[in-house]
Amino acid sequence: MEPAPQTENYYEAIGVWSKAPFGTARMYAIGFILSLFLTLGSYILVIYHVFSSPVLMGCIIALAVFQLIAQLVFFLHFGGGEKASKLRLLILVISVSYTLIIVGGSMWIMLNLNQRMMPTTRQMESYMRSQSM
Amino acid sequence: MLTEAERHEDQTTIFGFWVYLMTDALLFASLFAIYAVLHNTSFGSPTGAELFNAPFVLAETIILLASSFTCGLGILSAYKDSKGGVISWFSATWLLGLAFLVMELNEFSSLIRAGHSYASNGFLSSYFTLVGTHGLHITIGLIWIAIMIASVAFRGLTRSTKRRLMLASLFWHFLDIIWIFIFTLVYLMAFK
Repeated sequence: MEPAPQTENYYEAIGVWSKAPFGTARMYAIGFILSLFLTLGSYILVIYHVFSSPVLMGCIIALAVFQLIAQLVFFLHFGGGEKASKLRLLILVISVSYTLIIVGGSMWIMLNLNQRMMPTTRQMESYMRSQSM
Repeated sequence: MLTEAERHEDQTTIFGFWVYLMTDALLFASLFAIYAVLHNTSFGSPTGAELFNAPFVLAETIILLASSFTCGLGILSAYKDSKGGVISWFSATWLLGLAFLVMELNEFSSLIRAGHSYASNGFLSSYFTLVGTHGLHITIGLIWIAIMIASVAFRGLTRSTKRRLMLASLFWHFLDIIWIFIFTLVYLMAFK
Protein backbone atom coordinates (compact mmCIF):
# COMPACT_ATOMS: atom_id res chain seq x y z
CA MET A 1 0.00 0.00 0.00
CA GLU A 2 1.37 3.37 -0.93
CA PRO A 3 1.23 6.07 1.72
CA ALA A 4 -1.15 8.94 0.90
CA PRO A 5 0.60 11.74 -1.03
CA GLN A 6 1.63 14.58 1.19
CA THR A 7 -0.43 17.63 0.30
CA GLU A 8 1.40 20.55 1.80
CA ASN A 9 -0.23 23.87 2.18
CA TYR A 10 1.63 26.41 0.03
CA TYR A 11 2.03 29.07 2.72
CA GLU A 12 3.16 26.56 5.31
CA ALA A 13 5.56 25.04 2.80
CA ILE A 14 7.35 28.34 2.28
CA GLY A 15 7.43 29.05 5.98
CA VAL A 16 5.35 32.24 6.19
CA TRP A 17 2.42 30.69 8.01
CA SER A 18 2.84 30.20 11.74
CA LYS A 19 1.03 27.25 13.26
CA ALA A 20 -2.34 27.78 14.90
CA PRO A 21 -3.53 29.71 16.76
CA PHE A 22 -1.69 32.26 14.63
CA GLY A 23 -3.12 31.62 11.22
CA THR A 24 -6.80 31.84 11.99
CA ALA A 25 -9.58 34.38 11.56
CA ARG A 26 -9.60 34.85 15.31
CA MET A 27 -6.05 36.19 15.34
CA TYR A 28 -6.91 38.76 12.67
CA ALA A 29 -10.05 39.75 14.59
CA ILE A 30 -8.10 40.15 17.84
CA GLY A 31 -5.52 42.27 16.02
CA PHE A 32 -8.23 44.43 14.51
CA ILE A 33 -10.12 45.01 17.79
CA LEU A 34 -6.89 45.67 19.67
CA SER A 35 -5.69 48.19 17.09
CA LEU A 36 -9.11 49.83 17.11
CA PHE A 37 -9.01 50.29 20.89
CA LEU A 38 -5.46 51.63 20.80
CA THR A 39 -6.41 54.12 18.08
CA LEU A 40 -9.56 55.27 19.87
CA GLY A 41 -7.61 55.40 23.14
CA SER A 42 -5.00 57.75 21.67
CA TYR A 43 -7.70 59.85 20.07
CA ILE A 44 -9.73 60.25 23.27
CA LEU A 45 -6.62 61.03 25.33
CA VAL A 46 -5.74 63.89 23.01
CA ILE A 47 -9.17 65.32 22.23
CA TYR A 48 -10.22 65.40 25.88
CA HIS A 49 -6.72 66.51 26.89
CA VAL A 50 -6.61 63.97 29.68
CA PHE A 51 -2.97 64.56 30.65
CA SER A 52 -0.53 67.45 30.42
CA SER A 53 1.26 67.90 27.10
CA PRO A 54 4.57 66.08 27.72
CA VAL A 55 2.81 63.14 29.43
CA LEU A 56 0.26 63.05 26.63
CA MET A 57 3.03 62.95 24.02
CA GLY A 58 4.64 59.99 25.78
CA CYS A 59 1.29 58.20 26.07
CA ILE A 60 0.31 58.46 22.42
CA ILE A 61 3.77 57.39 21.28
CA ALA A 62 3.60 54.37 23.61
CA LEU A 63 0.14 53.51 22.28
CA ALA A 64 1.43 53.79 18.72
CA VAL A 65 4.31 51.43 19.50
CA PHE A 66 1.88 48.95 21.08
CA GLN A 67 -0.29 49.11 18.01
CA LEU A 68 2.79 48.52 15.83
CA ILE A 69 3.61 45.38 17.82
CA ALA A 70 -0.03 44.23 17.75
CA GLN A 71 -0.18 44.60 13.98
CA LEU A 72 3.17 42.87 13.49
CA VAL A 73 2.06 39.90 15.58
CA PHE A 74 -1.58 39.53 14.53
CA PHE A 75 -1.53 40.75 10.92
CA LEU A 76 2.01 40.01 9.83
CA HIS A 77 2.44 36.70 11.69
CA PHE A 78 5.49 37.77 13.65
CA GLY A 79 6.86 35.59 16.40
CA GLY A 80 5.78 32.24 14.99
CA GLY A 81 9.14 30.74 15.78
CA GLU A 82 10.29 29.62 12.36
CA LYS A 83 13.82 30.30 11.23
CA ALA A 84 12.64 32.79 8.61
CA SER A 85 10.88 34.90 11.20
CA LYS A 86 14.07 35.35 13.26
CA LEU A 87 15.77 36.93 10.26
CA ARG A 88 12.74 39.15 9.64
CA LEU A 89 12.89 40.27 13.25
CA LEU A 90 16.58 41.11 12.93
CA ILE A 91 16.00 43.21 9.83
CA LEU A 92 13.09 44.95 11.55
CA VAL A 93 15.19 45.77 14.63
CA ILE A 94 17.98 47.14 12.43
CA SER A 95 15.53 49.31 10.50
CA VAL A 96 13.91 50.63 13.67
CA SER A 97 17.36 51.52 15.01
CA TYR A 98 18.21 53.40 11.81
CA THR A 99 14.85 55.20 12.01
CA LEU A 100 15.49 56.32 15.58
CA ILE A 101 18.95 57.54 14.64
CA ILE A 102 17.71 59.45 11.58
CA VAL A 103 14.70 61.04 13.25
CA GLY A 104 16.24 61.56 16.68
CA GLY A 105 19.53 62.77 15.29
CA SER A 106 17.88 65.25 12.91
CA MET A 107 15.72 66.64 15.67
CA TRP A 108 18.69 66.97 18.01
CA ILE A 109 20.82 68.76 15.45
CA MET A 110 18.11 71.10 14.19
CA LEU A 111 16.81 72.04 17.63
CA ASN A 112 20.36 72.76 18.71
CA LEU A 113 20.94 74.94 15.64
CA ASN A 114 17.67 76.77 16.25
CA GLN A 115 18.77 77.64 19.76
CA ARG A 116 22.05 79.04 18.50
CA MET A 117 20.51 81.12 15.74
CA MET A 118 19.95 84.86 16.03
CA PRO A 119 16.29 85.75 16.33
CA THR A 120 14.55 86.91 13.16
CA THR A 121 13.19 90.44 12.99
CA ARG A 122 9.68 89.20 13.75
CA GLN A 123 10.84 87.16 16.74
CA MET A 124 12.87 90.12 18.00
CA GLU A 125 9.90 92.48 17.64
CA SER A 126 7.55 90.18 19.51
CA TYR A 127 10.16 89.68 22.21
CA MET A 128 10.66 93.42 22.61
CA ARG A 129 6.92 93.95 22.71
CA SER A 130 6.58 91.33 25.43
CA GLN A 131 9.22 93.16 27.43
CA SER A 132 7.27 96.39 26.96
CA MET A 133 10.04 98.30 25.27
CA MET B 1 3.89 19.66 -4.27
CA LEU B 2 6.68 22.22 -4.29
CA THR B 3 10.22 21.22 -5.12
CA GLU B 4 12.93 22.20 -2.69
CA ALA B 5 14.23 24.78 -5.18
CA GLU B 6 10.76 26.33 -5.62
CA ARG B 7 10.23 26.45 -1.90
CA HIS B 8 13.55 28.17 -1.34
CA GLU B 9 12.94 30.60 -4.20
CA ASP B 10 9.54 31.74 -2.93
CA GLN B 11 10.74 31.97 0.65
CA THR B 12 13.63 34.15 -0.51
CA THR B 13 11.33 36.34 -2.61
CA ILE B 14 9.07 37.04 0.32
CA PHE B 15 12.00 37.72 2.63
CA GLY B 16 13.50 40.03 0.00
CA PHE B 17 10.23 41.94 -0.19
CA TRP B 18 10.32 42.34 3.57
CA VAL B 19 13.80 43.88 3.28
CA TYR B 20 12.44 46.24 0.62
CA LEU B 21 9.63 47.27 3.02
CA MET B 22 12.23 48.08 5.65
CA THR B 23 14.06 50.37 3.19
CA ASP B 24 10.72 51.99 2.41
CA ALA B 25 10.34 52.52 6.15
CA LEU B 26 13.67 54.37 6.10
CA LEU B 27 12.29 56.61 3.35
CA PHE B 28 9.35 57.45 5.59
CA ALA B 29 11.75 57.91 8.51
CA SER B 30 13.51 60.70 6.60
CA LEU B 31 10.19 62.34 5.80
CA PHE B 32 9.19 62.08 9.45
CA ALA B 33 12.52 63.65 10.44
CA ILE B 34 11.87 66.56 8.08
CA TYR B 35 8.36 67.02 9.46
CA ALA B 36 9.72 66.91 13.01
CA VAL B 37 12.09 69.73 12.20
CA LEU B 38 9.64 71.86 10.21
CA HIS B 39 6.30 71.20 11.88
CA ASN B 40 6.19 74.47 13.78
CA THR B 41 7.35 76.72 10.97
CA SER B 42 4.00 78.10 9.94
CA PHE B 43 5.20 81.63 10.85
CA GLY B 44 1.86 83.02 11.90
CA SER B 45 -0.20 81.11 9.34
CA PRO B 46 -2.64 78.52 10.67
CA THR B 47 -0.98 75.57 12.40
CA GLY B 48 -1.96 71.92 12.30
CA ALA B 49 -4.30 72.33 15.24
CA GLU B 50 -6.27 74.88 13.27
CA LEU B 51 -6.20 73.11 9.90
CA PHE B 52 -6.67 69.43 10.72
CA ASN B 53 -10.11 67.93 11.22
CA ALA B 54 -9.87 65.40 14.06
CA PRO B 55 -13.03 63.31 13.54
CA PHE B 56 -12.35 63.14 9.80
CA VAL B 57 -8.84 61.82 10.38
CA LEU B 58 -10.14 59.30 12.92
CA ALA B 59 -12.61 58.03 10.33
CA GLU B 60 -9.79 57.72 7.76
CA THR B 61 -7.70 55.78 10.28
CA ILE B 62 -10.47 53.35 11.12
CA ILE B 63 -11.24 52.78 7.44
CA LEU B 64 -7.61 51.97 6.66
CA LEU B 65 -7.40 49.69 9.69
CA ALA B 66 -10.52 47.87 8.51
CA SER B 67 -8.96 47.45 5.07
CA SER B 68 -5.88 45.88 6.67
CA PHE B 69 -8.19 43.48 8.51
CA THR B 70 -10.10 42.48 5.36
CA CYS B 71 -6.74 42.02 3.62
CA GLY B 72 -5.77 39.56 6.37
CA LEU B 73 -9.02 37.68 5.85
CA GLY B 74 -8.25 37.62 2.14
CA ILE B 75 -4.91 35.92 2.77
CA LEU B 76 -6.68 33.50 5.11
CA SER B 77 -8.98 32.62 2.20
CA ALA B 78 -5.92 32.03 0.03
CA TYR B 79 -4.53 29.74 2.73
CA LYS B 80 -7.78 27.79 2.61
CA ASP B 81 -7.71 27.71 -1.21
CA SER B 82 -11.01 29.58 -1.39
CA LYS B 83 -10.90 31.57 -4.64
CA GLY B 84 -14.28 33.23 -3.94
CA GLY B 85 -13.12 34.26 -0.49
CA VAL B 86 -9.95 35.81 -1.87
CA ILE B 87 -11.83 37.86 -4.46
CA SER B 88 -14.47 39.00 -1.94
CA TRP B 89 -12.12 40.01 0.83
CA PHE B 90 -9.59 41.68 -1.43
CA SER B 91 -12.41 43.58 -3.14
CA ALA B 92 -13.54 44.78 0.29
CA THR B 93 -9.95 45.81 1.01
CA TRP B 94 -9.83 47.68 -2.28
CA LEU B 95 -13.08 49.56 -1.62
CA LEU B 96 -12.02 50.58 1.88
CA GLY B 97 -8.62 51.65 0.56
CA LEU B 98 -10.30 53.72 -2.14
CA ALA B 99 -12.51 55.37 0.48
CA PHE B 100 -9.40 56.30 2.45
CA LEU B 101 -7.70 57.73 -0.64
CA VAL B 102 -10.77 59.75 -1.62
CA MET B 103 -11.01 61.19 1.91
CA GLU B 104 -7.33 62.09 1.87
CA LEU B 105 -7.53 63.75 -1.56
CA ASN B 106 -10.56 65.65 -0.32
CA GLU B 107 -8.56 66.82 2.70
CA PHE B 108 -5.65 67.96 0.49
CA SER B 109 -7.80 69.75 -2.05
CA SER B 110 -9.79 71.68 0.56
CA LEU B 111 -6.54 72.78 2.21
CA ILE B 112 -5.12 73.98 -1.09
CA ARG B 113 -8.34 75.69 -2.12
CA ALA B 114 -8.35 77.55 1.18
CA GLY B 115 -4.90 78.85 0.36
CA HIS B 116 -2.86 76.47 2.52
CA SER B 117 -0.80 74.76 -0.15
CA TYR B 118 2.46 72.81 0.02
CA ALA B 119 4.23 75.97 -1.16
CA SER B 120 2.87 78.18 1.62
CA ASN B 121 5.34 77.44 4.39
CA GLY B 122 7.72 74.83 5.80
CA PHE B 123 5.12 73.14 7.93
CA LEU B 124 2.74 72.61 5.01
CA SER B 125 5.55 71.56 2.65
CA SER B 126 6.68 68.84 5.01
CA TYR B 127 3.10 67.82 5.81
CA PHE B 128 2.08 67.42 2.18
CA THR B 129 5.29 65.56 1.31
CA LEU B 130 4.99 63.08 4.18
CA VAL B 131 1.27 62.40 3.94
CA GLY B 132 1.32 62.68 0.15
CA THR B 133 4.05 60.05 -0.15
CA HIS B 134 1.93 57.73 1.97
CA GLY B 135 -1.05 58.48 -0.27
CA LEU B 136 1.05 57.67 -3.34
CA HIS B 137 1.96 54.31 -1.79
CA ILE B 138 -1.74 53.68 -1.12
CA THR B 139 -2.53 54.45 -4.76
CA ILE B 140 0.09 51.98 -5.97
CA GLY B 141 -1.24 49.43 -3.46
CA LEU B 142 -4.74 49.86 -4.86
CA ILE B 143 -3.51 49.31 -8.42
CA TRP B 144 -1.63 46.20 -7.27
CA ILE B 145 -4.64 44.78 -5.40
CA ALA B 146 -6.89 45.38 -8.41
CA ILE B 147 -4.41 43.50 -10.60
CA MET B 148 -4.28 40.67 -8.06
CA ILE B 149 -8.07 40.37 -7.96
CA ALA B 150 -8.13 40.10 -11.74
CA SER B 151 -5.20 37.66 -11.65
CA VAL B 152 -6.94 35.34 -9.21
CA ALA B 153 -10.25 35.64 -11.06
CA PHE B 154 -8.71 34.57 -14.37
CA ARG B 155 -5.92 32.21 -13.30
CA GLY B 156 -7.12 30.93 -9.94
CA LEU B 157 -4.98 30.29 -6.88
CA THR B 158 -1.71 29.03 -8.32
CA ARG B 159 1.72 29.10 -6.72
CA SER B 160 2.41 32.44 -8.44
CA THR B 161 -0.83 34.17 -7.50
CA LYS B 162 -0.55 32.97 -3.91
CA ARG B 163 2.97 34.30 -3.61
CA ARG B 164 1.95 37.63 -5.13
CA LEU B 165 -1.11 37.90 -2.88
CA MET B 166 1.21 37.45 0.10
CA LEU B 167 3.51 40.20 -1.17
CA ALA B 168 0.60 42.57 -1.86
CA SER B 169 -0.82 41.95 1.60
CA LEU B 170 2.58 42.58 3.21
CA PHE B 171 2.67 45.92 1.37
CA TRP B 172 -0.83 46.82 2.47
CA HIS B 173 -0.25 45.92 6.15
CA PHE B 174 2.98 47.93 6.04
CA LEU B 175 1.06 51.00 4.81
CA ASP B 176 -1.37 50.74 7.71
CA ILE B 177 1.56 50.57 10.12
CA ILE B 178 3.07 53.72 8.62
CA TRP B 179 -0.32 55.40 8.90
CA ILE B 180 -0.44 54.62 12.66
CA PHE B 181 2.63 56.81 12.99
CA ILE B 182 1.34 59.55 10.71
CA PHE B 183 -1.91 59.62 12.67
CA THR B 184 -0.02 59.80 15.99
CA LEU B 185 2.94 62.03 15.15
CA VAL B 186 1.30 64.42 12.66
CA TYR B 187 -2.36 64.71 13.56
CA LEU B 188 -2.55 63.86 17.27
CA MET B 189 0.64 65.78 18.03
CA ALA B 190 -0.89 68.88 16.45
CA PHE B 191 -3.87 68.67 18.77
CA LYS B 192 -2.04 68.00 22.04
